[in-house]
Amino acid sequence: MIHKNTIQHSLYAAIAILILALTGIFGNFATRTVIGESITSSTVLLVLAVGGIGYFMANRAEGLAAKIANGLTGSLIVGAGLVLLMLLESAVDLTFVFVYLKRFPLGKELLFGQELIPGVLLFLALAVLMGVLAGVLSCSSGRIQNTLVMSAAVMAATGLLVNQVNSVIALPDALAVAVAFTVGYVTLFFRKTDTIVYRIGIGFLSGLAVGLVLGGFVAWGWLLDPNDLPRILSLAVESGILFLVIFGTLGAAGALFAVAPANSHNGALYVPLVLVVLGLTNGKRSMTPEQAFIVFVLVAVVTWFMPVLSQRASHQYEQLARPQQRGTRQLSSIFAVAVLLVLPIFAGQYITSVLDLVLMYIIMGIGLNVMIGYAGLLDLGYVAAFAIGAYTVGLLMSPSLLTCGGVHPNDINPDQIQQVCTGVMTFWQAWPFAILTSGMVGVLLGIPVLRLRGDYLAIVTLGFGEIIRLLALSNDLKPLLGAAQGISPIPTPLIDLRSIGINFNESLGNSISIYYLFIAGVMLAAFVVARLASTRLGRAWRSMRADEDVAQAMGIHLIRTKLLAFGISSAFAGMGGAIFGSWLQGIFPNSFTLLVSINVVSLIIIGGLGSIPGAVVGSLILIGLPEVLRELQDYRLLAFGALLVVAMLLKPDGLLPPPVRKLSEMFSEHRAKHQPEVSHE
Amino acid sequence: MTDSQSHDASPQPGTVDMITTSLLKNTLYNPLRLAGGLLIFLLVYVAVTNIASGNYTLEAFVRQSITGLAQGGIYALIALGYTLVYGILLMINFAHGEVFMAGAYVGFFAINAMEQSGMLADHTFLALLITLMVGVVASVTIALLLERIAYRPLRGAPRLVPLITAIGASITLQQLFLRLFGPDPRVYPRVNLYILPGIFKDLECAEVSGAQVCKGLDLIDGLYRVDVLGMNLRIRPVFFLVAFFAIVLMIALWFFVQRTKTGKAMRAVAEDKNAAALMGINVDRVIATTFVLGAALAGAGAVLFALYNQQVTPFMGFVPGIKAFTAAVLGGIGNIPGAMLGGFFLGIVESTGPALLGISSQLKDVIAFGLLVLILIFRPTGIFGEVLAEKKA
Repeated sequence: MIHKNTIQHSLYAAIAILILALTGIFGNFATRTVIGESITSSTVLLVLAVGGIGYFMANRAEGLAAKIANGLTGSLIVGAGLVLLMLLESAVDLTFVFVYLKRFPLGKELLFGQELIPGVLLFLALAVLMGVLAGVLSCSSGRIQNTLVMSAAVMAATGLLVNQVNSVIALPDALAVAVAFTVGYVTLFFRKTDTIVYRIGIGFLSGLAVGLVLGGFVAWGWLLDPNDLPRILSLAVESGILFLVIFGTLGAAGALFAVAPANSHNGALYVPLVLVVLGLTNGKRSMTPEQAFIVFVLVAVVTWFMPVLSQRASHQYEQLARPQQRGTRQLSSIFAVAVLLVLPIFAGQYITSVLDLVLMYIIMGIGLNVMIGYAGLLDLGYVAAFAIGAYTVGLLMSPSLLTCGGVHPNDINPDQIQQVCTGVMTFWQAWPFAILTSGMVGVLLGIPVLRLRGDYLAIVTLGFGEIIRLLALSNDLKPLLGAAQGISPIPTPLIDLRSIGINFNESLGNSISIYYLFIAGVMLAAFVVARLASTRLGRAWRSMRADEDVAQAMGIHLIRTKLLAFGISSAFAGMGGAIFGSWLQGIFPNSFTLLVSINVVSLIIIGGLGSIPGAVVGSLILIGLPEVLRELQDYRLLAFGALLVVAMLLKPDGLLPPPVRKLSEMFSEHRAKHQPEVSHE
Repeated sequence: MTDSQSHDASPQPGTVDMITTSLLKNTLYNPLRLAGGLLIFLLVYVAVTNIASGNYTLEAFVRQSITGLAQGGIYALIALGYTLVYGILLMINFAHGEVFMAGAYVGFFAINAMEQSGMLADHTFLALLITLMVGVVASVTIALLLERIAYRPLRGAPRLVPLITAIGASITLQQLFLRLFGPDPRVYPRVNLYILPGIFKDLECAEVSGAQVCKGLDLIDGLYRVDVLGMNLRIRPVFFLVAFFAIVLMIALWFFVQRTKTGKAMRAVAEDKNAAALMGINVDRVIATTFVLGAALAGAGAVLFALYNQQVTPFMGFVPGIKAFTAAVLGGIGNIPGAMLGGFFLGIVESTGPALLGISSQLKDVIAFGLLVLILIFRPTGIFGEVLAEKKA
């Protein structure tokens, strides 16, 4: 009845969890509440460990009894392991070896405040309960499992994040947005497929109607306290036109995504849901049990009906004519970009700075994709180009040996610095230089390693990355690069349009305004690389990646092609580095460690080599996620490393690998195109 | 792996290679060598002027070389592991530095326990031997787990994939040790191991109840002033111990690989995994053996390193690991004596280089990596590399 591998695999899992427990993880996570005061991330971890293993074990058996038996075995083995560890802890002093157990004793968390023996019994009873529940859950239908797991996950994630993401949107705003979207969505619910203009129009009108009603209520003060209106609804009083346009657009979005491919439909539907969830927890430091319940039910309802809705939406979408489909896709991306653009207004400084970091890594990921994904050259020293970009901007934008005509700024009388340092540039002048310098240094560093392939190349480029950092750190170059103090302050980029007659003068001094610079960088990088990929050069890179010797035999100039890959790829790193430098308003050599290179390589491999959406997803997962979970930062890098291993074991091609066009497909396409002509002749 | 297969599969691998080489010779080979040669000339010039101006003495050179010898011995011990694994799997075992670190850490707990129980003072040699064994066992365990979990399932995957898991495993191990054993460095106890009182009659003397008793040479913790050829040197015997140990282990390993049946199987697997499997060799086991051998050397090196360096941190393995790979490349990857000589060479160059060139010692890693680049320009197969290595590169 018990599967032959259940005991063995549960033991492995138990050992892994025990090792984690020895790091004091349960105590450490207990400092972070998720729901109310009593449910902490430690509880979540425990449920995941004990219940999760039970669930995995139950899944491999057939039939309720067998599932329960397997689940029970799995949970009990893990639970028993933890119990043994607690007994050991109470008998022997482990704190010399496992130092974190001193601060976070295991028994304190897992015994639920009981004495040792009753606590252990209670713990085992809970393990049994979880095992049985896991068995039962594994027996239920896929839709139920999906709904329960999704709702629980969103509930836990909300509880975890509420501490940081707590002032995004007020509940009335979120509800209003959701209502407008839903009304737009529902108007088209029972209609047959229409043209896109008609759809958008109807959606816009219904959104407008919602806006009018809501706006009226708000303006007359029937709904809310007129002195304390949230951000969007206050527009009803301050700027009626904008308010109506926003609501109309929301309705149009609802109508647009009502007939759309399954993925974008689902994605769009989760946006208002997430907004409402965020609204619920707005302004709170932690989530109360009631809020958690509401979140759970909301997500459960939406997830439960999601398959039906998305099937209907994609079915209708497929019935559209080709141009209508294309229009839908284009409009969807416009909406996505619009969401990206308004995001920082709501997200606040902290989330936006995380997004900035993610965007920076997207730029670098797209750039490195040229080297690794297209040309197949493994570069572990990408941080070198990044550092060079940052340092170039730093040197050119502040008084330095370069800009002061070879005199160290410290030797200049502070009053005269303006006159002597005539070379100081604005960001917009220095940026191209940074990109160029990085690209050129990339080519220079590429020359000696032209003949190397694979791992040799990796280790040499890694060496280059370290060399650049060490040079920046060294006292030998202190007059120029400032050694450990780096270069600071660096002025922020300034957009000054007054010289061309527009009254606009904005300094990109904070995370929110620099966000747009990063967005521009990402778009530029994505555009250039996507276009390059389909040029002759892009094809040369790919053939070089497949086989250098054959590529050369086919007439590809290997040296030129390789050096172009080095140069272009480094230039993007320089672009990212330049923005990075002016964003932090200072450059310190310790920002340019090997970890940056590893991050970039990992994110493009996890996302899928040679795929631009892959770089986005990889960056969100590897950079954004750990950054947002910063309060668990003790375990950030551990999770990062483990994630790399697990992701490669499960998905060696990455999450979003670029679509591979089979030769046979291309051939049949070609034949379909040329066959009629041939037959006419 | 895939590369070597494609080479074997192509009908005339020699022709393509010849075309490549001659093309490279005509276009790029020479200017590159020219640039490299100019760089070397410049470095030699700087060094010579430094010596001529009296800024650098022979005494300093010898002193630094002895330090470099010990560092080189450690590099050599780690590099042997890299070379073995690379020779067979054609992958950089990025986590090898962490295997080294694990040996030092677990060795610390052993030696610490023995110090507490007084065994270290009473039976120093036995205690050191046990520490060494514990360190070796810890490293071997970690390496076996690594191979089983992170590398074996990916043996057929593209070459980038195991590299990423190796990096991931490296980070995971570092962080796991950090979380388990804390961020503060663990400090090895001072060990006094006295040997050869008959020869070193005048060392470590003390008055014991009126009589002069000399214990002999303190092999681990000793620091002696020696005047050789008019040079005033401060010598730590442990440096020579490390170098000696590295050489002995290397020779043992070489005999193992060349003379035993398992060694022959290893060479066969390195040549061609599929053919080896057809000949009845258990490829999985041979690869595991390779990891065990490499890890055992790294573990032994780690304990020795920790004995004289004393501090053990979770991050101590990373930089020596990368340097050791450099050493392995210097000596010609896949080549056992080469890895060792590369290690010693790197150790000595690294410790004498900064002063010789008159730059700060912060830049010693720059010298190490610069050396790697120069070697790869002039002799990509390494100092002792075979032609085979170029194909694999």
